[in-house]
Amino acid sequence: MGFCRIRLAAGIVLGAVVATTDAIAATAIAKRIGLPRRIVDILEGESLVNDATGLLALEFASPSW
Amino acid sequence: MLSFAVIADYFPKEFAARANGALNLLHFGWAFTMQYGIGLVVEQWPSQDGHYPVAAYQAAFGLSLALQAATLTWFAVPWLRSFVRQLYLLFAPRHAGPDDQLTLVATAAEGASLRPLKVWNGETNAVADRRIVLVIAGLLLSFVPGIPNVSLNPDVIFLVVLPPLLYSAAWVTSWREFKFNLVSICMLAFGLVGFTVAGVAATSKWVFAGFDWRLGSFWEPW
Repeated sequence: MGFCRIRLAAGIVLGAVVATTDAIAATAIAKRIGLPRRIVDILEGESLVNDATGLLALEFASPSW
Repeated sequence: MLSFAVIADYFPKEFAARANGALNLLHFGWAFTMQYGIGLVVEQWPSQDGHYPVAAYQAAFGLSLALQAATLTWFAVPWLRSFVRQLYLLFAPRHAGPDDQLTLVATAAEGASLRPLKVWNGETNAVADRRIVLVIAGLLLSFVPGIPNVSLNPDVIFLVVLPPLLYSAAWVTSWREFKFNLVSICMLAFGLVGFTVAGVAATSKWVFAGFDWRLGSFWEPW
């Protein structure tokens, strides 16, 4: 049982690392493939705020818990 | 004293006094900064009866000497400058000007932070390309034996690196458009990220069986 919990926490850490996209990288790719303005706005705003969710997920899985 | 005469030549006559004043400020400011910095380095060693060990001073003065030697090399060896410039042009063949030294510094800073500074308008593509080169170069370097394993305290990232990055990203964000798309943005930023985290957590069990991502990469094993 304890082993399972460790596995899940490690998975959450990995997910938190890969899920939070970077604002500028998203913008660069969006410009290259020519996405509509509104999609770019949403992507930029999302990547600005998603760090908060990612940090919370990381905190949630941290061993100090 | 020679530097005051030299710098006056670089500016129009009416700015000479101001340039010299700025240089003077730099002289004294830098002297204070150096003293403070040497104190910071020395403090890293434990003190005994109010004294710091000899090694602390050796490290501090050695660091200062190394910095000065590097600066002297930078100015005294012109081919080094042209070499770095060539290297830079290699990485950024599309828009780099030959005298773009500020850009060179910004590139190094951006490589260290893995996020480009938004100093060039519309050049994010080239910036992203160079970023990839820097990441791959760093990755390859880590495989070279003998290179020390640098460990970084996560607090440094959270308290020093992340705030200015988020601040600059927030600074260039159009808040009118942000408000207009608020619902979509919140759904993606909280819902999608949570969903992705949960999905990766569920699937990583099978994909990376037997590997604990928290060990080594992020926290010390407890």
